[in-house]
Amino acid sequence: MTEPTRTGVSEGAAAPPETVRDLRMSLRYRFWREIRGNRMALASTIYLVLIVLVAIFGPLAYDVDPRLQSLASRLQPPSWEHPFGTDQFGRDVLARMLHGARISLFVGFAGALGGVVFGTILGLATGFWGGTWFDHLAMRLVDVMYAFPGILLAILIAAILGPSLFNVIVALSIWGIPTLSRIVRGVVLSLREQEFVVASRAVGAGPARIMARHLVVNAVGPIIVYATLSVAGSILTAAGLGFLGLGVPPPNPEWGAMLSDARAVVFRAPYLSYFPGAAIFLTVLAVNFVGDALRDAFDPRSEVRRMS
Amino acid sequence: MTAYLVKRLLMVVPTVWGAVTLVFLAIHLAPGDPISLYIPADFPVNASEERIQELRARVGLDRPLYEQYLSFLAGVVQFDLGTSLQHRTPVSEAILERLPRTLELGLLSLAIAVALGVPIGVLSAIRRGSLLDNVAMSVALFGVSIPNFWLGILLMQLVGLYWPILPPSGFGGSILTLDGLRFALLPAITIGISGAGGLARYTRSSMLDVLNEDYVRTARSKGLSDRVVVYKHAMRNALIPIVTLLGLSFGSMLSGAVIVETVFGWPGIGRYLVTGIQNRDFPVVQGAVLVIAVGFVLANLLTDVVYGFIDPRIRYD
Repeated sequence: MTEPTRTGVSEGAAAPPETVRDLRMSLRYRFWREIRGNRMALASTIYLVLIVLVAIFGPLAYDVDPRLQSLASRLQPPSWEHPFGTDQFGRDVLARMLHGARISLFVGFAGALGGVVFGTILGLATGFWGGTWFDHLAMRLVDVMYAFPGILLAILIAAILGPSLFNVIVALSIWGIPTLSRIVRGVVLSLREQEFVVASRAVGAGPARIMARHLVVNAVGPIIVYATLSVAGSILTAAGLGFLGLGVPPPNPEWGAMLSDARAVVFRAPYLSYFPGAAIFLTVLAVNFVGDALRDAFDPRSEVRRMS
Repeated sequence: MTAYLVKRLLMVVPTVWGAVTLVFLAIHLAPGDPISLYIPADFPVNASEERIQELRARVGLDRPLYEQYLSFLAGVVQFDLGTSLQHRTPVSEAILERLPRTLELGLLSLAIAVALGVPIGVLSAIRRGSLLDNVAMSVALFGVSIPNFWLGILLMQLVGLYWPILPPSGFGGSILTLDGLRFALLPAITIGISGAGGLARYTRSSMLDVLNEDYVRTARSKGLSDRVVVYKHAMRNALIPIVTLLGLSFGSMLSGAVIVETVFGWPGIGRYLVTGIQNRDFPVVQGAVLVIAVGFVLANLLTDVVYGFIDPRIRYD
């Protein structure tokens, strides 16, 4: 495959050797410089902090059972009693939104984290032993995983494992591996021949030490950028799985599954689709804005572009 | 050129074989066998042990794994994808009936995505840093971030409740007929808008790369008008990498179709897959996933070949 989009990171990603402490400071510095200068990214960061607070404290403050069904109060539009209305089972939509925030955000973050961890490990190993049979085999496997476009790989895994919270996270983790592993592999390949890596090999450092002390540290920039972007993809994919009935099983509230309920009464209760849809959309949008800002902060190519 | 084509073709074979094997292994090595998924343990009385054994035998699950794998491979080569547990009809027939509908929808979506995304990306790049650029790129990010099933529901509500210019859902035959096209427009717009966001962002960055090239500076410095530089020198070269993206975009159109077909009740292969998942009908899931994956690999092959033709600098080695 020769697609430029899939190679991801530019060649110039190899930074001069830095100690871990210096690097952390410069990461934080670059992040804040970028966020401060970018109003959308700043607003997005504030929104994300708020939505996480809502997920943690919302269900405590608004103490209504999100699973409680009531035939008497089905499909009620928003009112004082039910601020976001009720669904076709008479359940309170606001309560479902608040509890759903916990599930949807947790699944999205955990799934992305799984993909980042396993993708990084695979990328490190294939990059470090690049060109060997192990690298070739692993990369062919990644090619094969790429043959399942978009959400399809996650659908296949979730369909086989059956709907459960843990299985969705497994599906999302596997779904995230190909992209992350290719990006990390690319960075590691360019770092591998750098003098500081050769030097540490010369003084007798083993593969594990070189990977942990030198390679991961220098790949942190691209990993953070794509980890952020994969949170967005993960939340979106999790919602898609939920919409198809492959997510956290009912009657648990989850934003994607709530949209599926809303689809069933699409004309009778149009308001039902507004809340979960907008919540997914705004959260993914905010994560993407932050991810874009981070990419501008870390990608040396976009730096060049800004100067020219 | 011939060598490039042959090499690229040969590369497809192991990928397709790998995809087939991955689907097979995923379904057969997962915890619990496909029949126990089809008939859950708490199923009402009539699921006797004999009935379950009979079902296992019917789909060949009683045979050793390697035998099942070989006969599955042999079946795939002859486009025999087994029989649906639910409907007892051949999966390949059902897929052949539905595939053209999904392809039509996918192509229409792709056309919408290109018509929206490429001009927006080019304009953004030319006016980089301007208000137009900022607004356009924010809108593009909206397109990337919006869940397509929500967008679909909103569009349905728009035409169903407020502005009845198109049918809100359903299927009206081939999109080459006026009636068919009317039904296809909403799902195609839904899928196309997500694709347009990504395409616009990619077009912009590809265009910016080209605008920084020496030959663009040369063209400018010899006094050519902006118009000529942008459209004759820059855009033609910027569009080359975008062609490769079309194969990838077609893949996202296909996977978008899985969900969007469900929203709009479009009887394509995506809807077939989702119904198969809901019925836990594993031959259907297996067959539909395979056909989508192979279709995607072939679409990428096609774009790579086209890429080789339009950009003579690209040679595979």
